[in-house]
Amino acid sequence: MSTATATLPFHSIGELSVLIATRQISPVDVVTTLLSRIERLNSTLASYITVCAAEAVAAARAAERDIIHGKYRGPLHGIPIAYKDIIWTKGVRTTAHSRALADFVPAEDATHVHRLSAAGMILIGKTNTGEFACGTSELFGNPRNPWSLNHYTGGSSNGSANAVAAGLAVAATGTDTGGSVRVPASFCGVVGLKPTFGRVSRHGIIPLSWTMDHVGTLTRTVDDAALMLTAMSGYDPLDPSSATVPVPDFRAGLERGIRGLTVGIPREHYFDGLHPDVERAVHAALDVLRAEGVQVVPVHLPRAGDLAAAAPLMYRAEAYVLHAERLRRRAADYGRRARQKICSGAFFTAAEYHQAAQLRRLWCDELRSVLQHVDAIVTPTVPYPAFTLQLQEAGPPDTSWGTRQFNMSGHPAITVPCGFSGEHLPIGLQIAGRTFDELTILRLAHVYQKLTDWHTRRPRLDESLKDVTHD
Amino acid sequence: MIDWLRIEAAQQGLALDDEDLEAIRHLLIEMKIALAAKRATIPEGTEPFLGPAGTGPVMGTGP
Repeated sequence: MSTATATLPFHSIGELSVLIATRQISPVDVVTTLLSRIERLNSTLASYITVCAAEAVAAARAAERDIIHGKYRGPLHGIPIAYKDIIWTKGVRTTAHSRALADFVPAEDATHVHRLSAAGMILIGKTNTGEFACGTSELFGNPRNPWSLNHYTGGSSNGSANAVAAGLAVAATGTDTGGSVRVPASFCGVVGLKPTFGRVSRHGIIPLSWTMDHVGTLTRTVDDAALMLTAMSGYDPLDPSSATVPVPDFRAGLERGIRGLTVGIPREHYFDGLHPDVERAVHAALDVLRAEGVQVVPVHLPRAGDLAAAAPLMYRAEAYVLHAERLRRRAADYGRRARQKICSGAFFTAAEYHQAAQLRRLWCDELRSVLQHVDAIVTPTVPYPAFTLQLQEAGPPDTSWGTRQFNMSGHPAITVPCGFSGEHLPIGLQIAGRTFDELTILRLAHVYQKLTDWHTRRPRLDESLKDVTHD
Repeated sequence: MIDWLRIEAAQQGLALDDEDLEAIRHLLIEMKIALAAKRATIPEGTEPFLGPAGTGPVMGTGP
């Protein structure tokens, strides 16, 4: 294998698009290199549930022909993409990692899949997920963290995150109801973006919660996230929550710099009881932003810790209503954890649901008020690095500790790698901003990424494979 | 509580076994207690926010 081919799986969309546009490489090279890596590593990493090898090669050949004939569509043309397996892909099985949907083949693409395909992206496969985005990943294998194969990836977009981190995908999309894009992105050391609620259509997502589901991206760079967000966004009449706000060219805005911006550091909740390596990494990241002329100020968000019961109560009640009919017919086809979590939603009272919604109101009012005075809020994404698979199976800690707040409110949030623990596990920095102002959080994350090299580090998979415990 | 869960599950047409019901009982107790602990902090008359969908005050809206 040549050096160029060896590094190809770790190129960003931005890098690949230049090589493809100038015809230094073909989309076919990119796709076949990824496919051979998937063939070699997927049995260990369990990144993919379905690999679309023949279809991806055919699409890459078509892209190659178009580009040769002057029909270049832009920087996403010929770039392979993976979709979490709860996202509809026309003619391609979409299982939600559940026996209950093991044979489900959608008749149409999700809206964001349709838009990315129109921009020229090539479906390479469907990535692993926690069952219905809330359960375990037993049926098709539990994804492993490429930085330490006996550690958890985070969930539920676990296959999307570990595929991008391990060079089995250039980019992926996932869904985020309480942190399901940002938590695995943080644990696996990639960029995870959850846009504002309403920015990206949810049509074609197997839903978990009407009011908290978001479609997001998992990429190596913030630049790539900006590219994809621009292509995915925009009003969709098929999603009742879709917003009519204008869609800027997010990538074009990245180079505006960040000098003069003000970020808030919550005094409450977000810096309590952190793993020391996370605390050190986040404070070091704040120093990087300060050195770039960003003002860092304390802010009060006393309600940030009030949602630990309210958020799961609301999403489980909604999930139960969404799943009730199928559960009546096929409860035995659900894994235990998904069945128990979703069915628990049947037993909350209407009063409890509305009390949770009152807490949601108080949090949203507080957050909106703070964001009138600062441009963004910076926090750790998760208070600790990835934990072991054994702990995940036994009963995991609360990984949505720092992320669910922005699902409840709908505000955009991004996680970007900001360091490593003593065990060489990635740490994520979360930046949240005003509604429909993804550009400001992308700018902050982009500048931070340009000034640091965390995102350029790669897991040493070949060494780890020797130590892996197959259980 | 487990008997109520069993009756309610049957009414909803859910085939849940004892292991499921026990796990759900545990989840419910944990979450109901956590919610109750925050209830006293909610000012009287606070209007619930049922999510940013569509007509929510935070988000833009469809046509």
